[in-house]
Amino acid sequence: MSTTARQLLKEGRQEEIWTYYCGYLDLSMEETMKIQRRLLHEQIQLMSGCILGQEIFKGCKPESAEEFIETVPLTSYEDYAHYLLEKKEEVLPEKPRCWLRTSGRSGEYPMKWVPYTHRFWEKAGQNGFAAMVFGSASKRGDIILQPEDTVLFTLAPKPYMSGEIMVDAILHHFPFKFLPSPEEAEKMDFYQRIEEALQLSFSEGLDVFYGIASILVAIGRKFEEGSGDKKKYASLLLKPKALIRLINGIINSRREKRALLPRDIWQPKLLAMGGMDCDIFRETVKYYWGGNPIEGYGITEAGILSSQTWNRKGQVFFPDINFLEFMPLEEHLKVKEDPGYTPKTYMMDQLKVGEIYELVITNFLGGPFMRYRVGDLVQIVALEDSEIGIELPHMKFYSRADDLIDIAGFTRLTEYIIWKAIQESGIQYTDWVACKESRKDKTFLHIYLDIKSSEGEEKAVEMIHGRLAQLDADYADLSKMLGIKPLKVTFLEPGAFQRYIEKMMNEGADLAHLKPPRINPSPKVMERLMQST
Amino acid sequence: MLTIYLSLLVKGLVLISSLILITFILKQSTRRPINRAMASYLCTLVFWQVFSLMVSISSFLDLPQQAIYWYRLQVAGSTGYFIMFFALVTTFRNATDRYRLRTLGYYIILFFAAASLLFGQVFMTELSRHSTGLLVPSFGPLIFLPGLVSFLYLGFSFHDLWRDYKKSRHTIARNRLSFLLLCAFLVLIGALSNLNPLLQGYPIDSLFILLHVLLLSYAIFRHQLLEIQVIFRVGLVHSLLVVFISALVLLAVTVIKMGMFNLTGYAVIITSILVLGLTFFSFRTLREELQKYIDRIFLPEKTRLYSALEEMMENGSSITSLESTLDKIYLLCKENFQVDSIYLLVKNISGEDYSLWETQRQQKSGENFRVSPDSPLVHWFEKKASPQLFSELLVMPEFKGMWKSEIAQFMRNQIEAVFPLSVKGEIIGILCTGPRLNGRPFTRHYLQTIQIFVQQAAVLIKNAFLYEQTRLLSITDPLTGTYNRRMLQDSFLYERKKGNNSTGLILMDIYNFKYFNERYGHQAGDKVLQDVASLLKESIRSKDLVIRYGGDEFAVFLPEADLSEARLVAERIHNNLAKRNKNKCFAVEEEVILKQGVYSAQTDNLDEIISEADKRLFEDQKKVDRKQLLNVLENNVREKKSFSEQTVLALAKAVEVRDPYARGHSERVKDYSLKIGKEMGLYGPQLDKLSHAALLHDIGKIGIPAEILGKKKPLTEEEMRLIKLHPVLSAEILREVEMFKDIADLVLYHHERYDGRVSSFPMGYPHGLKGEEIPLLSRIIAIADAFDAMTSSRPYRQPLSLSSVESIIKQEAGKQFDAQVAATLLSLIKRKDINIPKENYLYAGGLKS
Repeated sequence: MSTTARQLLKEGRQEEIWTYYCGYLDLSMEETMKIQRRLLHEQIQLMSGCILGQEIFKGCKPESAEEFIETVPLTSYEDYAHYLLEKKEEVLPEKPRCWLRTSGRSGEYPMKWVPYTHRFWEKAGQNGFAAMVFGSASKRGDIILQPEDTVLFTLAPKPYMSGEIMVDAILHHFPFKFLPSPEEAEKMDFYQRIEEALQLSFSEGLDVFYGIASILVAIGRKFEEGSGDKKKYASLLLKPKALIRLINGIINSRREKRALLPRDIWQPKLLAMGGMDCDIFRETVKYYWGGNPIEGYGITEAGILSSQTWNRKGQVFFPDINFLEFMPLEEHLKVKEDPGYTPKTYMMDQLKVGEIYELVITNFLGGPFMRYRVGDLVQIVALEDSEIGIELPHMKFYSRADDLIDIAGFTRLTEYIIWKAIQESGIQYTDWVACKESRKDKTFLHIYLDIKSSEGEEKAVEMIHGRLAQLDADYADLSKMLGIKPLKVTFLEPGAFQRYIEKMMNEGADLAHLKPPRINPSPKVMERLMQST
Repeated sequence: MLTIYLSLLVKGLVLISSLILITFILKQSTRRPINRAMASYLCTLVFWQVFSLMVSISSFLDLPQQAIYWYRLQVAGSTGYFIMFFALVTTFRNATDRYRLRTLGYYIILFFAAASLLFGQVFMTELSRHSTGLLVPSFGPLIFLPGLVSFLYLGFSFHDLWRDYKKSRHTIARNRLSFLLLCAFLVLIGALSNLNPLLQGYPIDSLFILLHVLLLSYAIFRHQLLEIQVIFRVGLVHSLLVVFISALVLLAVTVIKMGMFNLTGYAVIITSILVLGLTFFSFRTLREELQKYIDRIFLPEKTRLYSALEEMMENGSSITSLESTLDKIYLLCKENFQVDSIYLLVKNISGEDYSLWETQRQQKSGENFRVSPDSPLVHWFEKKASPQLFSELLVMPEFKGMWKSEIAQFMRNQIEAVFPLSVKGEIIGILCTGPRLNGRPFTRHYLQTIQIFVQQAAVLIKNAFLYEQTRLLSITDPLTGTYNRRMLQDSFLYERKKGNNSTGLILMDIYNFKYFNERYGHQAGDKVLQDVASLLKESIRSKDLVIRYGGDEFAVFLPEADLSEARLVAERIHNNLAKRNKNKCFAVEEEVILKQGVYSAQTDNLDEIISEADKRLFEDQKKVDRKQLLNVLENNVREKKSFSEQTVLALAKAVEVRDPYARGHSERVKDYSLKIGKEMGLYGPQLDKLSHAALLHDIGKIGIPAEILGKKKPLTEEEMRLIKLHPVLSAEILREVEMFKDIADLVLYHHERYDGRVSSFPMGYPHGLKGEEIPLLSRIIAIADAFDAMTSSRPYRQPLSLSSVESIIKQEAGKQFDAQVAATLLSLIKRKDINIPKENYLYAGGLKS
């Protein structure tokens, strides 16, 4: 059992909370690598003593990180599936505390199971809480989170990572108050949960939000459009705390002569988000909620991997949950072309600024994954942050490795760029997907857009094209130098995505498969989507 | 009036200091809940003091109406103050279970504020002038209500703080709690003073509040690092000093005033300088003496530790070994630290890790507590050589790399504090202690006091360590890290002295070690020696010693071991060696084989044991030689199905490395034989047979001790007998291998004389065959062997000149050698078709014609 903030609070050691959770930022690169190497050594010892490890190590037992990289092959879920899908605990290096469910990309596996040891679970929670501390801090050592701070529960419940780590493990570390309580939330569906959470937060307050940015945006829009359920507001009149909050909010909004916004009612200490939409909706969230959201990065197979710090620059990796290797993009492309190729990978102290790398992780603390290709590309944006005195590399999420749309070998568009272009074009849309398509030897980007109204459809294509050219220099060169406009937009009938989701729900699809993947969905998914129009 | 002025002054001071403190706290952070709670608490205090100040001003200006108004507000102010103190404590403790009570308190403040303004007469009725000049009120019927609430909240604060204080094992947390408890206590005393009508007119409560604000400021500005006990101690020492010096001065003045000394003019100045000077110079001594007395009262453990330190330093010079030094230091620590358990981890001489030394290992029933040199703990101590609480270390980011098993051993042994044994930046050990015997947590001061002791102990240990290293160097083989022969002698004498009866010895020799050196180089050879040494170390009992006995010879000295026990160890060595060979753990391709001679006896004579073990080693050597050679041959046959020229050559070379004078001999004999054979018209398979037989003709020498083969003096009869066995041995060996069966006889007869005489020198052996009984190929090998022997140097002579050789061959033609074969050789020599390698002569010291 490791230390927790709860325990530190109990012992009157509040000041050590920062040191324990966030102090790693003060480490030098050398000290960080010492931790990486040491924990890798421990993990090799553990793995070499179990069936799974022996299978992966193929008889050798590396003595150093360099030898480990040289001798152990890169792996994917396929290398573990025969044990993990059947939850065979006896083959693992350490007994798992729980099994987490993940879906990965639609169609790859119906579901994937990932074992978490107690230590790994605790560490994932520790890193999650560290990200929350960063998100709420305004400077080094600033801890404003308090016991009983209220958290809006909008996440997927257990056994998904969000429920298991961002609720249970976080609660293990710090006594937050979830609205609604995890037990009640598990009984509700997604929309019910958000409704209930909002209702409760009128009385109880809203100190912390973490989850998907689009939820915050949706709530903000509802407030702005005044489309909130008036009856529900009326019910608040009976609750004094809620009433005071509402009156306070109305006064604030009137003073600024605009519609009532969430920021008038609540002043959250922390807004934390994962995924691409955080950056896309950052400004909108700031406008509605008044706070600058913090971005973190985590995946089920690796726990919470990195987080921005209080100055909201690039994300810094947590050094003690996974051994991190970075495969340069060129190597990634080489191995994509020739699966037999052995790509080079680099450790954290060998990275170059501006380079894009595919992330390869090895679990510490008894986790099962060794040199596991998580399938994500990250870009190193800085090797240090002299502004706040951090000597560790900073990264930003670049793209899913499979989600690059390569146009004529000239440019590689990511989900982020396409999304940002659509968002900034000002089109009122519900959702979208994009594919790389070819016709008559010409390759182009095909966006299928579910728009809210059909007004300005013609202008929309030009707008998106213009934004893409602004956001991606290579895309701009394509049209300038070669005179190509590699974009086609198909406007779907409004509500196409909603119908798709309903159809999938009726078929009992997994939560992660309800929506079609945004980039290059399979022909089967596209067929369903088109049928929904 | 003086009291009113004093009252104004104190209240003003409280206000100013509170406002400074509020500014400082808010400047630090307005977002931190604890800062906000502290600021709110101080703001309430400011309000209360403003009301109180207004009362004093109203009294001073004689405005009773205003005074009663401010008095009534003071009721809300003081009650609010106690409630806000509770709120501060609750926020400080993060006590979520008290949140409701805190919220209730806020409502109560509002209630009393409203009540004071609207129905103030229920709390205060009328004013009267106190003897100090201050207007004081008479209490109304409900004055007990705010009093009760205030004392209830103060009671809750006390209760919570005290409970946490008792539970907390953390020094800094306890320290902070002590400050808050002290603050609460000061406020309580101040508040109680208001209940006494005699004290009502004096600003007693404000004085106590001022004191507590100053204390809080001190705690905040000094970052809560000083412990209350230390503050008391230092304060007491200085107060006593002031009292003492004042008394001294007072005495001096009284004496002068009483006219005992009639001082005037310069005498006054000189006397003053003298008194001041004396006081100045005696100040330090006085302070130190006082400090000692105070420490005895407050910190008895410090006094105890310092006397233990003195004792240790006195004993330091008499320490003669690492073991005894560690024993003494451990004992002193155990006696004086007043802790539940002590673990002294000392860096191994080999530097592999930090572990308990022998005595303690036994005491802790084999507890395998060790710390690796690359542990974060060691790196931490290298950076900061100061003691730490283990629970604090676990929070540090540097400790994220600690293994589960490493943390577990600290937890299992209930380690609370760790101390570095550091000498000039080198961490030579780590001292770990369990909880204190009195159940209290370690204070920073106590940790530092122990560290002073530990630091001195580190110096002693380092000295003992150097002594031990020097001693070990004199009895250790630097290459393998095993002991040398001197240690064997010493240990035997030591065991005899102890009265142990049976002493066992295993003598070992690495088979064919010279070959490893020649084939793989000396570095690989050294590695083999080191690997064998480590193999022996892991195979012996804890009380046994591994000794490098000679170049490639090792010995295991086994105290209190009879023959069966010694054999068990030998067997374990054999099995471990087999495992290592199987896993190819050695730096050479071939298997490493250890020949063993095991013996045990009850004797006072070590030579007797060595000699007997040596005999057994020799017996084993013969067995191993033969078995090994067979193995090699069989393996080659099995794996390759046919022998290549190189394989046969390699086997022949394996024989030659045992005899430096036979270097290249087999190959030369083969060359000479082939030339003779070809000259005589032999061809095809016959030449192949001749080639193999000539190469392997001396293979049986592998069973002859190297000492005999390389002996410079004439051989004894017994040695000669052994030498003569080699053709038989060669033939036996070759018969065991299918493909060499047909050359076994050729090799067997290569020392027979053509004339069959056995009495002549050199004699024919082993069977005394003659003429055509001896195969032609054997006769060819015989003359080629003799020719090479004559033209090469031998331990006992230099090579003969060619002319001498020719004449000997002529002389022995038809006697020792087949005449026809001899003639063929002579013609080859004449035609210069046979080349004698120059090195044969060079090796002997010069070319002879």
